[in-house]
Amino acid sequence: MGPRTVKYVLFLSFFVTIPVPYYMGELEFAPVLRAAFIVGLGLVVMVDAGVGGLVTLMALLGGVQVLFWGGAQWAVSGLAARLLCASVDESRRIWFVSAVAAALLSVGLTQIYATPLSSLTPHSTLREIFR
Amino acid sequence: MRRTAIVLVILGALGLVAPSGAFERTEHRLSCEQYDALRTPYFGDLHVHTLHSSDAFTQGTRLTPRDAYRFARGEAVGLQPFDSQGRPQRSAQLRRPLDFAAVTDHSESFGSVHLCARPDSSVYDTVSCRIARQWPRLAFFGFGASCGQADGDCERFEAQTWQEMQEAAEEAYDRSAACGFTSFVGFEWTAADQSVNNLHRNVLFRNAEVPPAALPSSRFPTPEALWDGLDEGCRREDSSCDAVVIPHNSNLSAGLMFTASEEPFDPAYATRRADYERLVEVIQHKGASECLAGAGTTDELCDFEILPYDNFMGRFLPVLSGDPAPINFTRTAHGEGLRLRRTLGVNPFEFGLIGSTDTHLGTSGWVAEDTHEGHGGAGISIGEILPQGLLDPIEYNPGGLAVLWAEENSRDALFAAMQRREAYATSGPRITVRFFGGWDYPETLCATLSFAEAGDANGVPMGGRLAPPPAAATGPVFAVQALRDPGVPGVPSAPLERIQIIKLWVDGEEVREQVVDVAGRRSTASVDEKTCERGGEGADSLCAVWRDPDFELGEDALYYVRVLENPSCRWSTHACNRAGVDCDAGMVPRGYEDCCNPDFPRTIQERAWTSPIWYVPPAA
Repeated sequence: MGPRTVKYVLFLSFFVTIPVPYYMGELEFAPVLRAAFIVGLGLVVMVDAGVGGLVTLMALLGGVQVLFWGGAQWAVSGLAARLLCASVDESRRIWFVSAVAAALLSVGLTQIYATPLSSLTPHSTLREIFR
Repeated sequence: MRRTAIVLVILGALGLVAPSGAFERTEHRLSCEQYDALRTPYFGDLHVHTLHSSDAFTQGTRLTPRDAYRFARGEAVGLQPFDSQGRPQRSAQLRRPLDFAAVTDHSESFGSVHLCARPDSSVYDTVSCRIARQWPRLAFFGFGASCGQADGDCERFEAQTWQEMQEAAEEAYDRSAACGFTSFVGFEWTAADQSVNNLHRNVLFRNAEVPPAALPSSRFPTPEALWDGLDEGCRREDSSCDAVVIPHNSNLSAGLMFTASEEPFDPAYATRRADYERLVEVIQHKGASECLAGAGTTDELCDFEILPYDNFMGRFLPVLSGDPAPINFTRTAHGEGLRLRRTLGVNPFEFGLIGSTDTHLGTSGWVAEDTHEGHGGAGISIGEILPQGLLDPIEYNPGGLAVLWAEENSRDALFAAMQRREAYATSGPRITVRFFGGWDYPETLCATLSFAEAGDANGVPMGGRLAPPPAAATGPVFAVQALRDPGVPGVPSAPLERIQIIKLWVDGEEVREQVVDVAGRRSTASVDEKTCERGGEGADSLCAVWRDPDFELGEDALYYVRVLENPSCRWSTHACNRAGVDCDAGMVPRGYEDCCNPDFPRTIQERAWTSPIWYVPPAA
């Protein structure tokens, strides 16, 4: 597993599971993926219903935060990948990175996310973040 | 107007209208069997949202105005979340029905809230509407269709909603001689400065004669524009239509509720404001607005149900909200009004006090601390699953009630009580408070059976202005009587602790205040926080006659009463106990972390606040 692959896997794991605070009318503490999903829905509404109004503001606000947190996670993933490649030999890297990803996914399956914008429940698991 | 008068004359001749009393009769209805010239306290809720409010609808509220009135009259209702068959997973019922209520949905969303929900909408099948239906919470933030897309549907739905609200109010209104329940047609005008500084006001109409459409803040953006709209659409020469405008949540207004859109105040503005805004909602779900501890007051009881922020942002993004401003609070505004009267000749803040819930579940008057499950709205949104933990933010409360002293339970009588401010607020319990001010009440008044009769004969009730002092007067005298909430079998209310009179006056340019215990005393009663059992002594009734010893003839002043119950458990303590929270032992189930937040009390002293009685010095 090369440094680039390590970086991609870590970034994907972070993006999908690590809760970050973002504000879109309400303060949520959930994965960047959820924020990006909400921004995506906003963009669809803007295409369908036209630009303007609260939804545009929400999408803009959310978009900036997705870029910020996504960028931060990309940078952290790169740093972590470099450190990992320097300290763990190549044959063991896959197990190490897999373990990190699995651990993050496991924690994400518990109700750790604060999602007041959810139509289902204000405290979501990874399986519920698209509601 | 002329037609109404003719109908009234005919009905009067047939004995179908009540004898004329202290209030003007504008509607035809049967006489009330219960009519008391000395007036009766009626308990109600004048701030209720149903599915026609977008913040309620997008949280799953499905109760209609008809349901909200049914609930107010004592019937059980089902509440969200709903199961896959659409069956409600919660139910609610008042222990005691209300005497009156008003459904006050946000007029801004009358049309738009139904755009994506009704199959007869022209945009129902659009992608935006599918998204709004699939993710209803996002629909509150504009994820859905807009009125501009909808080819006149908003106007159509707006008219239908306004019509439905009137019909629901009419159906709930008891026009029989029993006079069992009164409804008011109304709406909430939901303006906010910069979206988050609350300027909201409820508008209630006197009778069934109302404007052809509700007045949204999108078309009437300032309070002055709202009053203009009501002048034009309601208070016309040829109509018996009349309205009161009741501001609420001044605590979240960032200091703007008690200012004018264009300062400085002028007499014309002050006169209009005092005319329309005769009442202010001092307690509701989102906090109390009486006074703020430490802000120009040493009153230790000003820490009751205070939100720790200055506007709506405080709830959702606290970093962008400051500490509450002193002028957010009615006591500060009352004092400012006295000061302004000296320069303007008119007091713009001559308002009385009421309480209500601001429920967004359609549950009018659901104020019991021990059964509180939130009221939605800016509180916690109950989606498709009942969340674990506290069902309301720890800083919120179940809201209060409005009490109106009226001759009978009819729209005209209750509306007249609102206009003369013979009204008071409670934080939930049905405490009865009577308050009179005059110049020569005897000290033995409490011992007589004619308290109310003498109160009326020799002075004015709460909400009034003292008559000019007689030549030999040494100071105004106030008579106040309070009765404990009788409760219901098995659920007794807490006994009364004490009655306080709060005096504000203007000394030079300074507003000063004094809080005097006039009956009862600070209680040694206790509450077991684990079981919520109350102990210690309290009173079933309290009464006092108090003469102001420091009265100055030339100083503007006002006096109002605060009645306190013995301490009892706050709603959050009941909820935390039910969940088995033990902070000392570290047993805190998920969602109940705020049970151990030391910033919020575990017990409270429920209370009532009367409207003031004002003293205006004779012109020099």
